[in-house]
Amino acid sequence: GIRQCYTDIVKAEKTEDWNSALKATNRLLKKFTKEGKIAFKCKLIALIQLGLWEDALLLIKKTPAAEMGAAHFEKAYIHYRTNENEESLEELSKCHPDDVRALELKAQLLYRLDRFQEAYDVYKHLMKNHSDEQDEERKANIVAVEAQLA
Amino acid sequence: KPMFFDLAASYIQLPDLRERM
Ligand SMILES: [K+]
Repeated sequence: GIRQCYTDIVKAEKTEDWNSALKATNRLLKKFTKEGKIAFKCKLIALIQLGLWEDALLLIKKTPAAEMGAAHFEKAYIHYRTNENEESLEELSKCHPDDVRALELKAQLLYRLDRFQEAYDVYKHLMKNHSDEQDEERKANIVAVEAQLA
Repeated sequence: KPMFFDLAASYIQLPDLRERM
């Protein structure tokens, strides 16, 4: 049933068995069409985790926004991974200005594009307004940016 | 250019499914 599908998806996330997660989301979408919104989002995450960039972009393109919710960050991340930097920045501009995920990715993109001062400014803003278990790695990224500014 | 941590990757996460299990 539905609950078993979700249990399988969560279990698959814990073990990083994203092929199983994808199969469970496909079961959901086929058998329980009312689960659409959340099931589409789960499928998108599984496709990204599997590095199936084209499939992930196609899913976003084919799925009306009302059926998946906003996927601007996820779309920007796919473009980032496929080195489509301008497309990624364009998609990030559609995210909320305080969206931590979007800011983190924007800083990475700006660094990649050698826009070091802008990257530094984004990181400064992030460090001031946000803290999580990745603070140490974030500091290392900032040091890398600073090295380019010096 | 030094290597960089891809911290944005950690935000590629499933929605909260606890209530559906
Ligand atoms: K990078």
